Amino acid sequence: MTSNLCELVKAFASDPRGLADKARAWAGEMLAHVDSCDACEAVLDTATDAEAVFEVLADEEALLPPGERQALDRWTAPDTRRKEEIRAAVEELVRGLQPEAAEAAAKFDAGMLYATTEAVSLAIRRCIDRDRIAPLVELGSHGEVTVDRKEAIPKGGLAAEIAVFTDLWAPLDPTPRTAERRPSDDAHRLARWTFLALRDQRHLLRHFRALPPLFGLPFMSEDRVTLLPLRREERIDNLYERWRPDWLGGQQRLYIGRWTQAGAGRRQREVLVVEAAQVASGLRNKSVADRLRDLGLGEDAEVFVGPEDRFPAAEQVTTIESLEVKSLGEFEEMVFSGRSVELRRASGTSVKLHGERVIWRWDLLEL
Amino acid sequence: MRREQPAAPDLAWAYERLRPVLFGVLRRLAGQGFVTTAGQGLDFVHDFFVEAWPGITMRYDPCQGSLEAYAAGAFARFVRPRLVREARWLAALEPEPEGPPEPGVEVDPGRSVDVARVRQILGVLDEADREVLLARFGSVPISGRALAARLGTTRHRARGRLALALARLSAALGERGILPELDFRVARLLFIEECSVPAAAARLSLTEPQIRAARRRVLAALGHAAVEGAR
Repeated sequence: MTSNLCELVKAFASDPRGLADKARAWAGEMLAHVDSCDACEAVLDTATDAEAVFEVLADEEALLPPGERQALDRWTAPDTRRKEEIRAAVEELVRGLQPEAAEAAAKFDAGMLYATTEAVSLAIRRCIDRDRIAPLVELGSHGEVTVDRKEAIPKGGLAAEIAVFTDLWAPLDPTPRTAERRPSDDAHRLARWTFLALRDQRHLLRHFRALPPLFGLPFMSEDRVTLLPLRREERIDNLYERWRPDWLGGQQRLYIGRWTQAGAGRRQREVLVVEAAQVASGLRNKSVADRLRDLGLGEDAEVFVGPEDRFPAAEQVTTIESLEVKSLGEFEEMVFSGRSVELRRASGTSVKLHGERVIWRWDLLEL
Repeated sequence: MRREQPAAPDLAWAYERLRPVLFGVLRRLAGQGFVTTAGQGLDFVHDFFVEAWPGITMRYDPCQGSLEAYAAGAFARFVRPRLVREARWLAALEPEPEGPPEPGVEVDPGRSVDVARVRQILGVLDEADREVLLARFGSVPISGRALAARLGTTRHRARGRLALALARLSAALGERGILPELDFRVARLLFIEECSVPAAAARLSLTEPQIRAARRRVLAALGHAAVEGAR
């Protein structure tokens, strides 16, 4: 029997499709035999038409319904479009970070930054008891994680997780007896970047939201960020949407930049100011939405929200009645950073407004 | 229709049940050129159950879908980066058919590498590194499968250890000035930075035959050193 199976394996390896029926009929015995026969294992090493071999041995129809088979096609297909979307979203994300986090990110490829956010999010999620209500999850500046004040991931632990996702291992270990490999310095830098970026972008991670400093409570400090686990329905997969800067509490002014024609083919932005008692809820009010639509905003309009008490350009703007719209003038460039936007005129003068950019594309407001 | 399955699937049940689905993943990846031989794919099925199965059973949530689909997705994520890594290692480590010598390209290590000093370096390497290098490139070179069996590990891990040992050897040879400058630069690109031959050729402004010849010189020097070391 064994020699018959050896012959079958040999014939199958050289002509998988020709021997398909016989190989399927004997698949269980053949594979069990290969597991224990060095000669047959070696024969399969010569079977270079691996696609044909696995096509014969695979049996998905009985085990996976059509929907899951299609999902499998998607998971295994090289998805260049998805990669491009991720790259673009990460680049937008980095543009909105404060200088320290943005400079740390500049050393890395966008795909690597995205993989880092996934690695960190999944690693921390694994530390949490899913039945525990409102656990206190804190990320330290050295990549250590505590859950309910107990160490869940030690210093350097996140770097190891990041290395798994990004393949950032140090190739040369000076103490080869202690371990085969260790996370490279870049993995540690990415762990540090995650901490910095979370302070600027609270929705950085898929499974958690960083808590801002509220009512004087130190949820976010120089050496610690508090993370709130998100329920499944609260998670946001769309990176553009997840990484839009957060709404500020108490914001009262809404800035809108819309492209206008400046003559001779040049485009520049007219920046409008809308004031409302509560911009966030105002935007969801149909009458407000209709009035904003009347302004003729296109898809590429930029929206920016600023709190009243951080408005250095107040003297340049006349007080605006609720929901009244006024133009700040026309600007050639709007340069966003983490908590502000600089409006630059063609003449070279500029004005800086503090606040937070709330969406990147007007159509995402879904008004 | 949800299929029946044990609440906590054990390894033997899962291996039998899920293997045909995992072969489906390998079929797709082989179609994209990721899987080079059927034997390589089978190795990764084994590795998946040895390395990843405990995590799968811990994280799988039946409310989210079938175990088959979850395992297939997990396997795709498990196997793809390993296949990419293996492709790099294979390019650096596997013997290639000897072609006719390129005019003016020296392949004999005796003329460019001090084999006695290579042997000295082998002597100061960590024992595990020395063992894996001499086993693979020594007087009686053994196959990657036999090497894995000797190390008591999978072929993927054995290749990883070999790549790491080669990287350490290259660094040691370079630090002591034993390799000629060109050979060291080639060894560093191939074994430490895991560049492909065409990429190394582009980086060093050399032809691919020149890179392959340098690689052969370094590996042959290892073989010579191993033969002398065995005497």
